[in-house]
Amino acid sequence: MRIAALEDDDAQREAIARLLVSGGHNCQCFHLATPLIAALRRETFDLLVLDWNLPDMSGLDVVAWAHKNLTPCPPILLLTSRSAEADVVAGLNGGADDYVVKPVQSGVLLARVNALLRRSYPDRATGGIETHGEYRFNLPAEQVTRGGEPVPLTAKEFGLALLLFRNVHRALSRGHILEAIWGRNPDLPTRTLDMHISRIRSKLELRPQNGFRLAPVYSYGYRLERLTADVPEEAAE
Amino acid sequence: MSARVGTPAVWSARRRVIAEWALVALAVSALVAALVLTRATERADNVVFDTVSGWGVRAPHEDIIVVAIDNRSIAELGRWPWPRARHQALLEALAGYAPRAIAYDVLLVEPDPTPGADDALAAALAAGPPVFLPLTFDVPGPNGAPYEVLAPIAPLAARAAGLGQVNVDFDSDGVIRRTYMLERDGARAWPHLMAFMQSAAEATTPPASAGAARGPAQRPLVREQPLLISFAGPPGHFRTVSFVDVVNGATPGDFLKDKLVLVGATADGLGDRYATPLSHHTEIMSGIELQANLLDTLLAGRAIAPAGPARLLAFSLTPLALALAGFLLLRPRANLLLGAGLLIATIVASAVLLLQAQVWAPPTAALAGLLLVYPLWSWRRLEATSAYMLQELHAFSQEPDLLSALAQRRGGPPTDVIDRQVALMHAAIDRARDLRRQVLDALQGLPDATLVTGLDGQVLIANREAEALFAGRDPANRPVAELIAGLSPEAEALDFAGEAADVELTVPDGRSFAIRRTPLSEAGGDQVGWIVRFTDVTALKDAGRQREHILELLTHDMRSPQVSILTLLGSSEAKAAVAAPVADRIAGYARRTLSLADNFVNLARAEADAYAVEVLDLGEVLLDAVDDLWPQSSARQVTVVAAETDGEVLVEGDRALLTRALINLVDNAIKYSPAGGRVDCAVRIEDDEAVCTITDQGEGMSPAQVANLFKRFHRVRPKGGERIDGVGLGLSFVHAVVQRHGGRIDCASTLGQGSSFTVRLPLASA
Repeated sequence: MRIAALEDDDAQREAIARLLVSGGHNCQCFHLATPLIAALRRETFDLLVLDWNLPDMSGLDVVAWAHKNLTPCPPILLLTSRSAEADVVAGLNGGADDYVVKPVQSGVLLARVNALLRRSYPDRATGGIETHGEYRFNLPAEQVTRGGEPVPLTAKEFGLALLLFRNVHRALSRGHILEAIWGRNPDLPTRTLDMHISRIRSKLELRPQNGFRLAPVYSYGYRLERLTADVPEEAAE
Repeated sequence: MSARVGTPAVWSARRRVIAEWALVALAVSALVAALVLTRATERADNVVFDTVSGWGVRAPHEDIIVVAIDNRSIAELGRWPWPRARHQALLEALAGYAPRAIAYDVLLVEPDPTPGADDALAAALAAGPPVFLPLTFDVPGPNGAPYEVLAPIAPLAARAAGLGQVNVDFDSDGVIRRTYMLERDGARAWPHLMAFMQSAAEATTPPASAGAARGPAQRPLVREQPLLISFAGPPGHFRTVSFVDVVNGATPGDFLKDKLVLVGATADGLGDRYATPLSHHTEIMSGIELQANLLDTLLAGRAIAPAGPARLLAFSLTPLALALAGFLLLRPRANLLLGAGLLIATIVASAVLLLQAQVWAPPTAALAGLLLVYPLWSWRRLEATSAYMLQELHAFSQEPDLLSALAQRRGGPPTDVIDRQVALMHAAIDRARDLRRQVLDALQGLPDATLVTGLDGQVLIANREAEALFAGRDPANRPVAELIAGLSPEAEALDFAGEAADVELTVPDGRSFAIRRTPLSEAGGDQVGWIVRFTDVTALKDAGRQREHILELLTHDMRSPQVSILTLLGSSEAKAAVAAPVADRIAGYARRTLSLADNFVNLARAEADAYAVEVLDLGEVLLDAVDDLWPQSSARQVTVVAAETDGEVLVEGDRALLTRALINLVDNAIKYSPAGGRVDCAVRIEDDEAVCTITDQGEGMSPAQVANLFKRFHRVRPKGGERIDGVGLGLSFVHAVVQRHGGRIDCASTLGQGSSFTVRLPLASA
């Protein structure tokens, strides 16, 4: 896939490029927003990886520009040093499809990139069975097995789990989840979604020990993360 | 005090005025009714009747001729009483003139001494046109009879065409205004003499009369069919011929033809004479002229009926009712005009009724009511108003004076009622003036530009600061919106209709103002305007901007180089150039710097920013925190056990901040645990509180360390020189978050056995 990466810091830009190339993608790097926009006018990219803080303009401005001028707008992944939740939500609401807080862990970035690409350019050939790690989803029967053992789920819980697994590494907004599972304009108690999430986490044991983490995206929604086998270097402190 | 506002005091004053009004209305109405029913105003009414009757003078009926036994007739024919022969001569002479009917108003109740004279007269009576004779009554009659009929002697009575009574009725002032057309004692009835003449004139059946019946009188006489005479004119108004001229044939031939002739005495000292409404001071009217007037009244159909009691009450009370209604609805000046109009209208109505409709409705009672009700009402209303004013002034003087210590009161002790009222009034006015002055001074002394506006935003008062702010433009009497637009064209418009929310305004010279509106209320609590303040928040905004700037610096500009260091260390070049242990240590320092910056920013936001509060399950929050720390715990081979929670433990809070607080606590526990150690976490409900405990099996702390730990929480800003490490900042953050959620945090620790942190938060209200 053709990916455009925008990052003003040389070291980080090179690291990103190296990572994306290692993931089998074709990466074109930009150190300023203006040349990126110029390139976007000429060429087509399958995904944009944008830094938030840039010398010439904000990454959010690029997001807005892309949504206004590109059809179809490619998925956008925002890289940010801003760890505050408010900033993250502002980025997502501003039109970015996902975000990664710096310092970037290579596994996480690649997983998010692949998740976005998978969603935007689907390649579905499931045949009624989907396998995510040790979880097997039998779509016609609405049944889930974990390591061969069936896990009893209600219809809504099954739908919610499937939605999360299909969008692994992707932040899903509450509105998106509610509409996908409960339909348009559902008249639900505000805590319904939180309670279903809690039950799925408990029944499917979506815990880091089992390779999955169901994380809240504050004021926005949820994301299911699949933990990479290698222990992140951060913990080696 | 505006008119649309009804304070309790005003309502009580209004109630009192209404009560006074009702009282006045009742009293005066009762008086008028009494005047009407007792006819106490009859004399005054008579004056009105006489005056109005004077306006109704008209030409007498052409057919009525009076044959007067006048002074000349007495002089020429000899002294009264005349022998029957004279009367006989007249009747015979009259017969020659062929009148239609004759009323011979001379009482012929005794026989003539000359034999045959009565019979001769009787023959003359029968010979010519119908002649009607009078009869009268003596009350009381002889021998205890209630009355005696004084009728013409039998031969005359037998030949007369009819016998009618000629009684008259004097009013209390001795004036004749009315008569009764029928005298009756039950079975027997005598119509009036003029009723016979009327029937002769109109060729109708003469009325039935008891005539000269002399049976024993049983019952007293009763008068019926009253009527008021509509006098055609003063004495001498009717055409008159002298008795002697008729007897001598001096009267022109057709003068009496077909006429209604009334014969009676007019000579001085002869016959009856009466005062009448039209017979002014000196003149009096002879009986025969009175009869002529009555006949004229009957023939003209102008008999005046006195109004009955019910109608008279209605007539008398209507103007009063209108005046009373006016008191409630009109202003005093209009009321005065209404009163004068009602007086005139009453008199005019009475006159018009009398002259046009022949109904006599005496106006005096109504006039008396009108004349009385005005001063009475003025007095009572003044009393009520005065009482209200006194009450209010008293109440006002009892109210606490805002700045009583400053106010100097003047004047000696009051002496009398008026003095006291004046003193109260004076004090009230003084207080109002002082208050006004003090309010203005207070307004002028305010450091903010302040405007006082009406409900529509029109500026009423502006202080010096405001005048300086709107330099060169006098703010008074301008709309606030216009003034603000003058300061900054892009300014948000003030919405005076809705809730008073603050509005920010930045003027071109860079200053920023917070525009704050406070409702201005009157004593009753209703809003009458706004107080608009322009607080200069330039310095505050600058400080806020500075803070944001520093936070921005920490979040991005300080983080970025550390991120670059970590990225570089991960590159293959670095791995080749830098020895692995050194690279790890460099990465460790970079991470610590990152964590310091994060903690600092988090603490600042936890202390200052607004929280996004939602209802959440504290158990889930703990799971999120534990999952978030999986990389750290698994790297250190520390087992973090989150106990199963029994159901949801709901609290109200900011999910991100609470999660980070628990992350900080669990992170600390992991850090201080030995490799392979265990951290226990649990969430439960205890004493109606949500409780979260995080227990490690680390080295623990001494009591002094624990005390120190908490001491540090309470210090808002660390003193200069004191070392703040990541742990301190992290705990400070936890403390700030828990405190702002209305909870508390405790720490129990034993050296060598580990520490246990307990966070307690209020449960979400169901």
